[in-house]
Amino acid sequence: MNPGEVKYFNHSSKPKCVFVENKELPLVCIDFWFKAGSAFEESDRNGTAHFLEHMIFKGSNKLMPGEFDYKIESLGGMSNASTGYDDAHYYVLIPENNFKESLALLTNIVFAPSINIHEFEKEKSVVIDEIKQQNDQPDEKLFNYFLSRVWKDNKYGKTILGTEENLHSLKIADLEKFHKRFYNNNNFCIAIAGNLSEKTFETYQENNFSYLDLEKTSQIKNNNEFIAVSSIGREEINFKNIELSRIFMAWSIPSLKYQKINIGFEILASILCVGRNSRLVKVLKEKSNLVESIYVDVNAGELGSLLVIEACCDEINLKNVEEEINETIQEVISCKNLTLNEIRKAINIVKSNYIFNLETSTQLTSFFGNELLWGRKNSLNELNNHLEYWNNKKNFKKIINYLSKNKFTLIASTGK
Amino acid sequence: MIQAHCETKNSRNFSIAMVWINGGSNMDVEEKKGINQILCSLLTRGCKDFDNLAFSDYVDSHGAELNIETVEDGMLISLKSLDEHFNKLLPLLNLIINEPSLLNKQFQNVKESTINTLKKDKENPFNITFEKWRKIVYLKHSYAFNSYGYEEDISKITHNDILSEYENFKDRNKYLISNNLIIQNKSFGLINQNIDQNKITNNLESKNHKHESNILDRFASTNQKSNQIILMIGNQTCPLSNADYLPLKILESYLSYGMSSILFKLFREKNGLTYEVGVYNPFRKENSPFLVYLSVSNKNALLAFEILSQLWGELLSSLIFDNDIYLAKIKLKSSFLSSNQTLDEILQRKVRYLGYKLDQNYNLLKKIEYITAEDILNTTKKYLSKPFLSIYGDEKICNEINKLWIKNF
Repeated sequence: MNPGEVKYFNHSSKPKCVFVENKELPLVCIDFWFKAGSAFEESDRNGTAHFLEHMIFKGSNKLMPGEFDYKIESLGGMSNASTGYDDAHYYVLIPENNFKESLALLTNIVFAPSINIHEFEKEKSVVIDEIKQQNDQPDEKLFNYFLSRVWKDNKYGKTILGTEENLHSLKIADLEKFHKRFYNNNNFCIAIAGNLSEKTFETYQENNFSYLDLEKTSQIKNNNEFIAVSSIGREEINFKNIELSRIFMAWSIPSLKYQKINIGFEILASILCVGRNSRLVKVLKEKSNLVESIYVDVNAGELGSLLVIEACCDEINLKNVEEEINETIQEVISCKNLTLNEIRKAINIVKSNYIFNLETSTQLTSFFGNELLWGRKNSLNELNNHLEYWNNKKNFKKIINYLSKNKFTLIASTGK
Repeated sequence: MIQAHCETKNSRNFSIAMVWINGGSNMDVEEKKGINQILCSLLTRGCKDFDNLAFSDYVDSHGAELNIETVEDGMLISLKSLDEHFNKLLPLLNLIINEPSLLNKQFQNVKESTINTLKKDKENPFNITFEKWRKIVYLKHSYAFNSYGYEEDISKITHNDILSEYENFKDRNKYLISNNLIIQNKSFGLINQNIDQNKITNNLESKNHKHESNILDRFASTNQKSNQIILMIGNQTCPLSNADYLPLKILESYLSYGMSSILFKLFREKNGLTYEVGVYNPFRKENSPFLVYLSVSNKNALLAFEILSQLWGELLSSLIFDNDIYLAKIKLKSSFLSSNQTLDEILQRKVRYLGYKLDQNYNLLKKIEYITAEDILNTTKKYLSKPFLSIYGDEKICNEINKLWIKNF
């Protein structure tokens, strides 16, 4: 696996940084990562992390609202950001010759935002529109509902966007407090990927990071030791505006800290649902066409992860589909017909996926930035070892055993 | 089959081979809309020595991805695998195109899946709004129809229809492209070239931008209780190969690329009205759609429509400032660099260019510096003077928007 030359920069006077050098990429990505996702919000301040991400682009101590976007785009670049449950990141994608100015602009806007009341109220309205739009998409609304039911606590159970009511109650002070608490060197790292040169490294070292109090510590702290716990049981609901019914099933599995185990679950997800010969697709689509779609996904998080099965089917088939899924899971648990070939096939699929998805500058900074932020520096090097470890029926049974544990099931009917 | 090698960077560790087949849902006949999508799906469900499951097993065992897609102008088959397996997998492309099994059992399976997918698509209000928009814009032209077809048509398609469509499929021109040199050593003894087939022979049955369509014929509304109003406004424009396409791309960039774009600034930054706003302007062999879309909360919908009407009027009457054009051109060039990042995007663009009878290295931006504000204004007037509007949402608000539409357009 050779996505480029990976170098880690670890010096007490600068933020931690990972550089991925690949001369053939047309653009450079600079990606700032923070342990500042919605899971870090105070329980009555849902929506803060995501709203702050919007407001970061609304000006700083040096830049007027809109000025950052204009400058970056005039340099032939583009910028974006995203907030998840665990982290938030901000990136620019630029031609290499404009690296210096772009790095300086991104540093300024992220660390020295200036939130004025006029911009705050306007952007609040935009985020409320985003929430309304999400609520008009039955797929998203239903999945959020499922997460709210499956996670017992409210770290991963609340939506990242928050509710309209949450947004109305947020004040500028809430955003400033969150920024002060989490946008600092303890929770931060940078990833830079693309056609880099010696000059890029020099420019990085010369960049003004004085907004950060670097003397305090240069170690990224793992400051959220909370462990998320999922529900078990079964729930049936009628859900408005869906044409087809849904079945969700979820098993609690170890968090991303346990990388080897999470890779084991990616292999299991492939065995269950990638390709027409996979266990669930074969039974539910190829043999009987009982479902419109069936997915198995590892919903991975730093506090806890889920193995999720989602089936979409006609109302009339709901009972059959649930039974077939349960029967298939029982077969897997009992290792019925499970061969090393089946495991190997799934390992090949997982391995290819990693390689296919480390192609662009943005993909590289996403992967390496996230890994560095959460202290998993050598994970790509270890991937082959992990895959090899699971290429053994006895070892793989450790993963399968998780399926014996109690799960949570949500049945959503169309009500038609 | 015409073959082309595309030289790209070599550090990826994986390769892609892609086949573009001229003729997709535009070949669907009346009352059989969706037939080519079903045929395309069936190609990979068994061929020569492989039954459906054995075929899938062979691909999956090598960790490869085989994707198929039917779009308006053609079908795209894409095979992606690690370099170490590519040699073993490449011959599959030949088999699925020339020796598919097309079994009745598989046909019934695909047919049922397609109907389910169409049902699920109806859950998304953007899909519903766009369906209506293209209907009023393209009338009976193939671009008016969903490539997936329609439930009532799909249910009428028989296995014999599929076998006949495959005969038609065999005559369509096919183009193979790959980053892997191996394709140059393979013999694809495939179907004869049908030289005339590439010519654009089907004149558009609706040239709405030239017609004086009635304002009511240019409006469609879907009334549904929802949190938001969705607006889509625009018209059909021109093919990728037309000289007007570049000014339209610059207009698209001015309107919607990045956070310095006029739509973002107007609707989000200045007025805080919408989250989702943008332009849809894909490249097509014939007249591409050019539409502005946005979703807005019910209480802000009328104001948003007034602002949109005003913007539309300005686009049709005023020259865009030189510094805005300059920025739009930079962003357009930057978007091309960005779309050169993945092998999938690079090859897909090139193979479609070949299918459209353009050079695979066709450079749309070659003349970008020569495009002036006058060119953009003239192109905007030519195509967007009589736009078409499709809206979705609360009935009362949609009715109010209809009144404004009649007043403003």
